[in-house]
Amino acid sequence: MRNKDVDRIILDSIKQVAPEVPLDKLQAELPFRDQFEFDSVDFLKFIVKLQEETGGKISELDFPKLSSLQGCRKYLSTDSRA
Amino acid sequence: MSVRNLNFAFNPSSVALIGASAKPRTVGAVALHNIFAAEFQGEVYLVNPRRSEIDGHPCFTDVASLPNAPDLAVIATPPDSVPDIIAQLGARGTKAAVVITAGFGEGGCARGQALCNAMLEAARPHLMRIVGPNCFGLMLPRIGLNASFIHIQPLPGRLAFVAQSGALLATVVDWATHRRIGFSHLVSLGDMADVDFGDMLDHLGADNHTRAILLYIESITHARKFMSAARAAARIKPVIVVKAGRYRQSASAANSHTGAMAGSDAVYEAAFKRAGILRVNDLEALFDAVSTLGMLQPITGNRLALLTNGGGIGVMATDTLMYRQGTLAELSEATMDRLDAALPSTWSHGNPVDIIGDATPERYSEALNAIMEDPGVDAVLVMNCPTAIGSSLDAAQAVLKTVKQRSPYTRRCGVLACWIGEGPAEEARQMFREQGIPTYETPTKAVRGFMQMVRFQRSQAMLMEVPQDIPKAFTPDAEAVRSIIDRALAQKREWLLETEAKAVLSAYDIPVVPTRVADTPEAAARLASEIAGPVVLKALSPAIVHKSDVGGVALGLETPDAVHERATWMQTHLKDQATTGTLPLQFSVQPMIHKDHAHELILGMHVDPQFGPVLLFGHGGTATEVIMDRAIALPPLNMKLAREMIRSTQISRLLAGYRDVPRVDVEQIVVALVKISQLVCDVNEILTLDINPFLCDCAGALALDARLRIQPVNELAGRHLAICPYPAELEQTIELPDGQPMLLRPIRPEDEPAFQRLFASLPPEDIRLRFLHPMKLLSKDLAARLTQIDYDREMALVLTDKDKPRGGDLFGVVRFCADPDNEKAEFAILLGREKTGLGLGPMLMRRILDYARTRGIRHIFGEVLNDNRSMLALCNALGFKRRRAPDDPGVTEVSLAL
Repeated sequence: MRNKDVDRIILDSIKQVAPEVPLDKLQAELPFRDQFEFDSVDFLKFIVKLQEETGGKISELDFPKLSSLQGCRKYLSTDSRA
Repeated sequence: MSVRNLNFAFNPSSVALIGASAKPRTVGAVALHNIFAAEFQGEVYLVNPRRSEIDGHPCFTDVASLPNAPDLAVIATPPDSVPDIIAQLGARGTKAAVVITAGFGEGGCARGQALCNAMLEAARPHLMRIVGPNCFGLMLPRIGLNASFIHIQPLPGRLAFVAQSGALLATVVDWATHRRIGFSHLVSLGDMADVDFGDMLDHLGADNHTRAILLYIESITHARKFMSAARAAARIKPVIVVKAGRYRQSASAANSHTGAMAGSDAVYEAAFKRAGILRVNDLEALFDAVSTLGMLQPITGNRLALLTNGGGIGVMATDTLMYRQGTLAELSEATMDRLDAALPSTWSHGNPVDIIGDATPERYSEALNAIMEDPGVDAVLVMNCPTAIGSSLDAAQAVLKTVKQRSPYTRRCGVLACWIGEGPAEEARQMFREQGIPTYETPTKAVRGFMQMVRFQRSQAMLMEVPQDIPKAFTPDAEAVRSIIDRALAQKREWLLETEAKAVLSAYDIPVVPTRVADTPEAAARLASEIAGPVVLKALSPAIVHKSDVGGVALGLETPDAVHERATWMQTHLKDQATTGTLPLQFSVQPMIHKDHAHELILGMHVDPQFGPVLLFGHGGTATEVIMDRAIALPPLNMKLAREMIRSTQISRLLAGYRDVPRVDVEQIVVALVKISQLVCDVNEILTLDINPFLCDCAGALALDARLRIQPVNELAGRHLAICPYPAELEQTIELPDGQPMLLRPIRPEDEPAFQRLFASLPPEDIRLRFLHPMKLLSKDLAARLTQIDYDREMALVLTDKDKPRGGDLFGVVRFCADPDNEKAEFAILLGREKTGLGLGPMLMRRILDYARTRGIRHIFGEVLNDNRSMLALCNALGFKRRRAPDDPGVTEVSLAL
């Protein structure tokens, strides 16, 4: 998957879960929780969206990797199913 | 093997007696009489095909004609009829039966065995539970049910007594009833075709009407289930056992030192101890336990004060207390002053407090008050021997009045009474019993009763102790062990070669004397030349198990030539018997270790037919079985349990050093035992392990010889143990987005300090939401309860630093606790503030749900405070259903079908 597609998927998913987030100001290294309201239910919804978009199942053991933009990028670009 | 439907047996609302009889002195007639005499409040149905009524009570011809399905059926018909009756009852909807009838294969009768199987088959489709067969029945005095053929009506109380032997049950009921001691349950288990001790412990452990559980055991079934149930019950209430058959040795065990030394009774003893069960040795001690547990409030310590009107009985009580390693309380100065003021100058001026033969009731009262207020006294034994001056009845009344007048808000001090004699003393004892004060006929019995309470309190405290972590993490080379064992099994060998056995120990980091293998006498001599000092030469062949018996061991060979000569001799003399299949005779060469002041120990393992693998530590050497100084324990061991094992042997005193023999670092033996335990848990092919001698001195420890016997198995490792070991296979690595690796693993008892730290780090609001009410401190017993879990029934996964797998912080915990039938489980989750918002909460929840599913649990549920919005939302997102908790409007119950 191209980096551009990966970013689109991630940002789209965030937007659907937390529409108020200013996506352009998102810092890739910082966990989402430090930048906007992002509780565990938001997190689960975000995972569901990512799964829909990528068509692959995400193991719960990988959830923590997906708690920042950088982590998501790394995960989705190396994950074979994505 | 379950608690399912046991409530129908132990809290029935209707009972049918199948085989009710009018013929005097038959089981059917006595049971009928007992049921009506006990005034059971529910429906009672009688079944007798030939009579329309007995003693004015109507009879039904068969099960089919009963107006309703009884909750409990009591069956006293001939054995051949029982399977059919069970089938009919099951079809009607009855869920429990007590089969009093005998003739189901006791003593190995094949026809009876077949009948027993038919009975169980008939019950199975209906999940119907069977108590018995071949039993005296059951009595539930609390609900007025006496479904037994025992000669006496027991009184209601809060003790449960479960016995394999009906006759013993009758004896205890007789004894207790005459002393006005009552019971919640009296159950005769008989042949235990279905309901067994494990089921009873699970049921009674959870029963609010039962304060203590007494068991008379001859043998148990399903060791693992028994251990789980016993450990759970003993954490909640005292469990006391009399185990009969103490001197029956396991005959199959004689082919190893460990086997010969771990007799079956010692294994039972080890199992009871591990579970926190108190064992007493005879009926008399059981009676004492009944007196003590039936009455006394839990005591808080072991310091006993003695108050007596006779010097002699005070001395005898002191002797017994010392013999049983109790503690005589030391009275404070303030107490001494008070006693000086209240008593005549001739009083004993110390503990025992002898208030002299002419003691008046007032003197008893004043002395007792002073003693009970002494902070150095945990319990007081008040004694009285009859005199012509003071009335023992008046003295008893004064004691009772003093105890009653004490404010409930003052410190707790246990009171026991020993009124010696007949006549008025008997009357006094009765008064004490009625007021809930444990009472005994002799000072010896009284002190024994007190010490039983102390032992119970101690075993509870031990259950709560936190084991320390193994000092240096070690990673066993499991693959090396696997390949040694696979090779031996492929060669159809039962015993490993000594060198192989030592290689197995080395793979588990147990110190072993370096031992090398030579194919020829020349090669053996060459190896010897590379070793400084004398060597030991041994013949190496799977066919020779007892090497020294056939001249296969040569000690202290000084030169390579001597080695060559001995090896050649062995080759000539042992070749024929030693060469098997593809394996020719070989030789092992090792340095001869001689150390002044070293101790020869034995470390071993043996498979008990009942409890599976057991571990042994003791005084080793060739005379190990003669000395018979050993301790047995069930694996898995932690540092605390291993230390406890060593401490309980005589040789531990030598290890502590004496005269010019320096002390040994016991920790290295402790660690070796923990590693052996790990080996035994990991490799279930091991049948016997003898490390003898394990040589130990102030410089270190070394295994000089090892024997290891194996057998092929086809079950998963760990399943063969009576206690579920730490499930290392559940460990998983998790990565945070910054690359920080974390470890998700099952909780260990050693995690208690870290768990306390996690608790302390939580804001009060988080604690309230998690524990459903505010809590400032996590109590020691709750922390122990949450960290020392039974992996067979519970699971708690903790999140820790991958780099600090031991001793590091815990960031979160998720857990479930399943019912004994593994049907429903309650979950809970706790996440430290620092790690919220990183997806860990949903991860932990999903993980525990997945795991519960793989364990076959059907429903998972939890309680959440209504204002814990985020948890409720998370449960909602995970598909949980919600409803208001019926008994608490502030709480929501969430549940999920898996």
